[in-house]
Amino acid sequence: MKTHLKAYASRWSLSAILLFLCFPQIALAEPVETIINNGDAANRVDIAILGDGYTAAEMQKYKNDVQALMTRFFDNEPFREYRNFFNVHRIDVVSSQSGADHPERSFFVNTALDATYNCQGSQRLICVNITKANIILGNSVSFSQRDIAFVIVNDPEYGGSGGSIAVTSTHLEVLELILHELGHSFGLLADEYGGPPPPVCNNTFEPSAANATKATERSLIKWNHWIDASTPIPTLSAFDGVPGLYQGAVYCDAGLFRPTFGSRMRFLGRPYEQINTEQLIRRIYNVVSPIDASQPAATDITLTTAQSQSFSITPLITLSGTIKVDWFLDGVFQSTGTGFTVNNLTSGAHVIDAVVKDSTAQVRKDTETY
Amino acid sequence: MSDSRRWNLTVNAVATPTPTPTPTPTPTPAPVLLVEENSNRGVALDSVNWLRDPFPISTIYNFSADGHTRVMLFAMNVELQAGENLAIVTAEAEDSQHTVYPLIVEYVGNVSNLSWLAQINVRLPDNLANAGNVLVSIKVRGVQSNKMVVSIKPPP
Repeated sequence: MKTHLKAYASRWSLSAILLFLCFPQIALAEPVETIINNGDAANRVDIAILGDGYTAAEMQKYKNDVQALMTRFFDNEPFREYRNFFNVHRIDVVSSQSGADHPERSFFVNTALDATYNCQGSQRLICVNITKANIILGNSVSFSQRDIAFVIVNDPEYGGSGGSIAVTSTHLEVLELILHELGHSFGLLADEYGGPPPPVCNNTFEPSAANATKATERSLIKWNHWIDASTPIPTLSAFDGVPGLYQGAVYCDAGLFRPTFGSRMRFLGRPYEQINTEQLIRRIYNVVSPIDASQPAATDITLTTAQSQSFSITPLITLSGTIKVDWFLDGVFQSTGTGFTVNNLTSGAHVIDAVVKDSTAQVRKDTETY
Repeated sequence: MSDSRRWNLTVNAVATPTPTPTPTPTPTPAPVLLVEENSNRGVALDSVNWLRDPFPISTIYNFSADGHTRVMLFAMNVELQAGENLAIVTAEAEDSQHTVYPLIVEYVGNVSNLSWLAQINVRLPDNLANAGNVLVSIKVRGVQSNKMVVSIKPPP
């Protein structure tokens, strides 16, 4: 009888495992609460946050930790200025045990995402099981709700990591690490520090990042539009916040240059500085249109000369109110504002254009894609 | 950093609406004073003795205390509408010097059994005494009639 039960149990377990492997998303979807909702995810930068090492009894702490993290996150530019462009979704992942593994002192806990310090032999480097994290993300929020993903680990010891899913402990200063890593994952920015390796320096080709170059001719520098004509190239000063051409970037002490002396992509605790901020804003606009809605929905409209027609745009709003809507009739500027009405048009074909533009001084050079 | 929306409009001309016909008053046909055939001498009679012109300005054969002669004129296209009175009819005489003398209209009414013919009684004023032949005309609702000759008999 026991043998039969065992055999039955084994078959059941095998079936369960196969089912789990085939349909892991069924088992791993977790409750989600949108804690910052500024609009349709299709037109927002959506941040999804996962927790690890939080037991069911610690869910309120998890909520508080996430709230505190996001409050500090949106205190930083350019996210402060563009906070209306973001949504934040908290995914309530419950772990069996609290905290994270500390192999260096033989402390291990059973958590949902297997968070562990001392990853790859670096004590402050926290790694999580990215596969598990991605499965939970994929089954808890839609694709448009996870433009950026964080994992917050319930451990007060300083630590974290970058990559496609940034990881942070609850240590207050780890936010800086998150912001730095976000510069990579979201802003496509390079590290601005030099050697020693690892990683290995390779200064034989032009970096794709907006904040690193091997060009030394002023006109060829990617961020030349930020460099004052009186600033020498290369730039040898050590003043913060002065765009120039500073030697040392992307793990190379020479042969590659960075735009400012010390931005957040070089030193934690520093601002992004002009060039990286510009790039981050351009990246935000790579996800978000400044137009949230427009009326009428139909784009081909038939009127009579005796009729009037109103048009409206719902733009996104920056903290400084830098977005404006200009209206054009047959290519001729008419007015500025969110609404426009035409009256008594002559018979024939006409074109109404609403051009919505962010005139922020934080972007000096706009390009189509970033 | 920027985005735009475009709407393509096709605007069709509205056919100019046909103005709603405004009811226009039926034009008042010009009154026609009766004259003798092939002449512009008027058909006019003393209202008392029914004698034709020349008319004295005053006469002892009179029904009124003022002694002035009343002359009956006959006209077509003179018909009082409901609510109207003889104030819609005016009369005047014009002498050879083109001096115009208003004539007081004292009566307007249809001739018995001739509904198309109106009788208009006017009083001859004192200053018309030496006018000789005058051209008499009437206006009905401001519409001028023809002018006909009437002789005034000078005082003795």
